[in-house]
Amino acid sequence: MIKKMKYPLAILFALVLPLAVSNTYYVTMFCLTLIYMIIAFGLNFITGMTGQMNLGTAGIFCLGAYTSALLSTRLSLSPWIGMAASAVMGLLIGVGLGYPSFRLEGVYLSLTTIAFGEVVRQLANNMTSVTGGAQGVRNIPPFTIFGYEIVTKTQNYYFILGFVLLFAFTAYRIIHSKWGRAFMAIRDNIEAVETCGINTAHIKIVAFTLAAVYGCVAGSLYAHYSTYINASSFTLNLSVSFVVMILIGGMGNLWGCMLGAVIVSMLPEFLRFTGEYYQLTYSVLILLCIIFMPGGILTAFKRKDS
Amino acid sequence: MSVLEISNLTKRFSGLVAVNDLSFSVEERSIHALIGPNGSGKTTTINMIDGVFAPTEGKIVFHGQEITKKPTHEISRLGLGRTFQNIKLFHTLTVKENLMVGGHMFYAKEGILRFLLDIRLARQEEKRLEEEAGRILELMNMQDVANRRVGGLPYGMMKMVELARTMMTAPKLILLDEPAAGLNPSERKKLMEILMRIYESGVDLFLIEHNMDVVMNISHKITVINFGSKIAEGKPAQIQNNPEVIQAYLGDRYQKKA
Repeated sequence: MIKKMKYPLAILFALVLPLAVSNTYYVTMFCLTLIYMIIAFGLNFITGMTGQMNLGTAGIFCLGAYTSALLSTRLSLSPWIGMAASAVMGLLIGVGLGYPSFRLEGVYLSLTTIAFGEVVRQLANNMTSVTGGAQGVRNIPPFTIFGYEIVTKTQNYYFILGFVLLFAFTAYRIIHSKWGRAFMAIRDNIEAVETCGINTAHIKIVAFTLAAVYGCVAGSLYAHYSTYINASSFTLNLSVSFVVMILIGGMGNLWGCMLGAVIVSMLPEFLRFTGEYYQLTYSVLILLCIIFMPGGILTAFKRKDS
Repeated sequence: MSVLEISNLTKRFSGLVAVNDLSFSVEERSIHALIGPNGSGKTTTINMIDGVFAPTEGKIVFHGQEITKKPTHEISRLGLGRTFQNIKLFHTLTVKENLMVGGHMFYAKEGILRFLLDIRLARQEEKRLEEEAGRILELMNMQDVANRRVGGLPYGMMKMVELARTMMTAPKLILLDEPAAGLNPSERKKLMEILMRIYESGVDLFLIEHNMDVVMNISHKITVINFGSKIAEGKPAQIQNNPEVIQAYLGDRYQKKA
């Protein structure tokens, strides 16, 4: 009963949430959490399921945000075209970032993805003529639906929620299909996947591309939602936060990704009362989660099956 | 007609010659065994056939097509399956899911874009994979473990899952690397039954095996290698009485008393 009802219940909860809180500051936080969820869904394909560490997610997010922001400010194109361009950017990153994963494993692949994220951030910061440098990109126009501008925080919340549902549905289909199985099979035993006639390089590229498209579209949503972006937000720290999201929530699982995104973005707020000890408390809590629930928080609620 | 033709295969690992000028062929509709002492180059031979590593010299032809330098996944698509000496399974997936990965390129070939856009087609593919997995599970009498996670299965059952997964790749020939190793006598008997059932369903078999009960009982032809070179080839009865094989590997235990 509960199992069947969990999807409509979750959607209902998400729909009434902004009505239940009066403080717009919280709605702002919810918007950001939703955007992070999309990124976590994407990262889940490559790191959660395929087992390829990606510490360059902030770089993907950054490229998506800048692509959309620059097209709509410099060329005055519709944000929708900006978003489409971001998705194409995601395809390019997926192939570019997937390629090294054929030859590199473990720590070396992690280093490559860190380098990717840093290169993107430095370019955004220093190619002043294109990106506006440290000044960032200002006055990014909002999305419009049938001439109707999405301006307020609450409007943005529902707009982004629509994307979360679309991306969650797509991710669900992928996870529970031959693609999801192939991703996890690569994590479990890559040689055996080859003997099944599957080109593992191709599957890795698919996983990286999905992650990048998710991340880039999330970037586009972020740019038009916050109307201002700046390279200094897209740090390695942010990349690590995304990995923490899928790690503490539960890898390979959409609920885990969502829970992780909520915890990582909301926990700091609830820990405000700890004052200057906040960073310490936060880190210790995350650490405890990982030590005592290595499969993610969700596993604590799941019955063990053989 | 031969389905697999190995000619003058040599593999050198820097100074070490693992396989030396080895030639043999697997005939159509046959079970062919490759035996020899530990370290004689048996697994190396299978790894070269399967494209895990390239031979230093020589040529491998499978059903009339040269596969010497092809990557593993292309070789598998041509209908050459294999199992591993140290079982290689997808431990976090269930038995059925393992089989469905096996059928990925054979019963569900569509690319990711079509998959995303055409929900109906995606469902059809999934259904087809499930049906095929069900069919293979039935062939191998494994329906009762279909939804068990592979990581928790007993060793003998894991070997069966690996064999079943290979069956999902629509193989014409399966290379088996020590299928009976680690199995107890009753499991071995079951294995032989299943191997015969697979063979009768139209799949040729090529196996490396140390268990002589299995080898002598099911093979039609045996190739013996020692230090990477072929020392004998023939029917089980001929091999059992070959003095060189007895000296190098078998001992006189299997010799037919005249």
